[in-house]
Amino acid sequence: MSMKKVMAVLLALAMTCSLAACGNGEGIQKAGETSSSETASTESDGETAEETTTGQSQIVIGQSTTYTTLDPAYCYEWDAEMVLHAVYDTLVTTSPEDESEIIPCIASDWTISDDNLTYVFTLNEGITFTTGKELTADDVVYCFNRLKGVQGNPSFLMDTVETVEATGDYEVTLTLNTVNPAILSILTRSSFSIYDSEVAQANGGTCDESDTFQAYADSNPSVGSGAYQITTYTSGSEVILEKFADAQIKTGSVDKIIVRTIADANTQQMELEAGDIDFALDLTADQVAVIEDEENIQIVTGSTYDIFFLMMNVSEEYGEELADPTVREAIKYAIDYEGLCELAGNDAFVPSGIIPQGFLGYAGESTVTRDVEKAKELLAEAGYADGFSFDCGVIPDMAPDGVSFMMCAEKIQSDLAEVGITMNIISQEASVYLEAYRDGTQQAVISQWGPDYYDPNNQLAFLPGNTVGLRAGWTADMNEELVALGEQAASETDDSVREELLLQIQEVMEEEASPYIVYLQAGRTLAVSTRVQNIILSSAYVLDFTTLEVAE
Amino acid sequence: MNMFKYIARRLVLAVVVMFGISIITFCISHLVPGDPLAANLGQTAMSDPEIVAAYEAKWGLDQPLPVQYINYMKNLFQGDLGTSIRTKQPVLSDLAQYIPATFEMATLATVISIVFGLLFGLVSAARHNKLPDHVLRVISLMGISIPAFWLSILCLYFFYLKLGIVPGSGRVSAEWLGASFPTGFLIFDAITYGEPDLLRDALSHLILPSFVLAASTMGILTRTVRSSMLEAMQQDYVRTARAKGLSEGRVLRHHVLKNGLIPSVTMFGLSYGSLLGGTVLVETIFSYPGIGLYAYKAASTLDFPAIMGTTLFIAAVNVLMNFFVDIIYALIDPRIRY
Repeated sequence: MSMKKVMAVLLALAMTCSLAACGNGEGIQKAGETSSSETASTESDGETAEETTTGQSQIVIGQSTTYTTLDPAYCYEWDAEMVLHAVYDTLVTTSPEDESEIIPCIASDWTISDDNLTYVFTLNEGITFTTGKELTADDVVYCFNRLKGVQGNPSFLMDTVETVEATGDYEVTLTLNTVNPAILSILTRSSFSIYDSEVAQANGGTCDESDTFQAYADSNPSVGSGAYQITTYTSGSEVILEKFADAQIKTGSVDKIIVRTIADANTQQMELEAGDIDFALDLTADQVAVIEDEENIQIVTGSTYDIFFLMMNVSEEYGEELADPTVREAIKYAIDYEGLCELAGNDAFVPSGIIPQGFLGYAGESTVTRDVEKAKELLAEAGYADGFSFDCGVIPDMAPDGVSFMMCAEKIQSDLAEVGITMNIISQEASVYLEAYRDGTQQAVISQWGPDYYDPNNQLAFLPGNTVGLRAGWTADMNEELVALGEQAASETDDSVREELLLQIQEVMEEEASPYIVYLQAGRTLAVSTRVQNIILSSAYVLDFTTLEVAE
Repeated sequence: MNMFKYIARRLVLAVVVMFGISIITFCISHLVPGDPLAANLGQTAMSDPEIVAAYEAKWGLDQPLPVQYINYMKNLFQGDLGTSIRTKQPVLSDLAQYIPATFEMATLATVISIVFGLLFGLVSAARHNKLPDHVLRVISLMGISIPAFWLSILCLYFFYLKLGIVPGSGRVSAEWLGASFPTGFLIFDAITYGEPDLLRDALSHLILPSFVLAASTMGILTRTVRSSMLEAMQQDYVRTARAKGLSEGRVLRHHVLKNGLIPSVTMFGLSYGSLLGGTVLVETIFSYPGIGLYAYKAASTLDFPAIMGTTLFIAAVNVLMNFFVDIIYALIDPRIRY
């Protein structure tokens, strides 16, 4: 066989492969072509910041993370909240002015029984989904039951809900199995989004583990009632939202919002500078400093509820030297908090306990400052005048809110070295780190906690015997006073009493040298094109799409 | 042994290799420390026994390892690669979504690396120890030694941000985002359905990442071609050709090139597989939604079905390329007996 023949065979093979991959032959269709939202292109790539041919406005957001799903019953990624918040409505929501205040959304009002176990919600009438169907109590009941039944990541949020019933076409009754003062806050989470239950049921949706609606939901336009509709979702690439003209509760101003996955922060910065994206969500403090003076870029700052902490195992078996409270106290004084906040940038500060600023029970900024001498004295008192060494697990590529775990670990390592403590940084893959963390076998870890819902009760997980406490080897029998205080706070419905309890809990934790040294609460800094206006950041869901406007 | 027997033997061997790869990948991905539950469930959900039990049952993680493997292979033979734990979509549809992007990038990168590698290698050998040789050797060394992520950022900075001659990251401009493409192979679709704008757009997005991806392979090919050419130039038959009075060009074309290129064919063939598997960093910087990023995310979340699917795919491409190289080698080199 001659070379020519061989090449011909190879070429034919390649063409066959390509043709075999051919789909249905329907041709190429641009997104929204049927809804006539074709975009204008003046250059090869400069059109993202332009208006469309039909005069529609468009915003492009660059963010590093990818979503695994946008089905509210399964989605549990903090950065997906902003998308879901714009696409779906919930029974109640948080006030944009004061995020600790719960305000009506789908529910126009609600009543709470005297025993705090029954919540009756009256729904607004006339709310329609993108499908045209009107939202009724049956949709709420179905969505809540599905969230609970599919046993997905956020299903635990329904743990204190015993039953959900439609007690009228526009009335929903929620019965709890235990008093939960956080329930209204929990209901503001996007997991409790309401969507067209008929579409879900017709496409594999069930309220148990056999549910298959997720695959449908992720590959078809969303069926919510919010200001925007997801028209295209390509995992790892982009989410395209278009304004839902018939939205009743929240309405958007911008016609089309594209959330693009741009994994690398340097690329995000360049795309923003070039005008190809309007938001860069993941720039580090250093990058922000470089571009903040650029004419076409504005820097918008906000807050988060995310606390960063060094967790030390207090069990003798895994904590070793760290099980000694005097040693933990010494470490507390050895750390340079100011330096860490400076490294983290974005207006980071140090809260004095486990409850972040913005939550009921926040105890104010920490007054602890670095005191090397005191740290050395405490170490000597504990019998480690010559220092000691311990292992600290770190996920090297983890940088929530732009705060790198590794950067924090290295800073703490150098701080501790000055008092004679050697902190060995153990760089671990996330799954390895988390497995040992869950089992409570890590001697120490650099960690971060973003609340599951926006109520201080979520932070009670840090107490002995609870989720995070056990990971630090802090069992319930090690501090019964804290356990009792935690139980009281968890079921107290009077906010002023609850606040007292929460402050007391943090005081006791401070006195007892708890396993955690909270070294910062992260701020949030977004770099945004100056053409975007009315930007409202949220501690809970990052960014409110519905308020965004494009300058003329 | 005739050619057919040789091909049949290579095919059987390929199947055995694929089977071995499936066992090794399965074992490694299940035996590495780390827990897929920890990587895929939230902190609070991870503490809820009901959610954990449901999750384990759903993804078959509660089964013994051999049972998991047998189930996997049973499904594989029925064309089912399982469902990704992370994306919750069938791995086959995930692969169908991500392969076209990587296929296009790796193919263009292969073409670039072969064309430039060959050209640079030939010029380097023909101008041995002269200025062009020195310059090209430096270029090839830079291609090999500059890390892909760094080269990506540098190229984006100069060619996109400063010079504005190529578009930014992504596979297409925002104009085409969310469009439905019949095959997912944008170049093919654009040509087939007569969309010159799309063709221009897709190619302009493809060119820079492909060059970056090709840089290292191009450097290696340049050096391989150069050294095999130089070796061929020392052979007696070349001296004889020159002694016959043939022109230098004719000597190079008919004697040096023909014989000197044989060792490089192996490199050409194998480079495709390595380019296909080496796209992670380039895809990350260029936000290129391909299989490299998918594989990376699968590995970091211990998404076993996705890890198996991508490994088997890349292994299959490598085995196939090896198979073609063997056949071509046997055809172009009469000394090879099969």
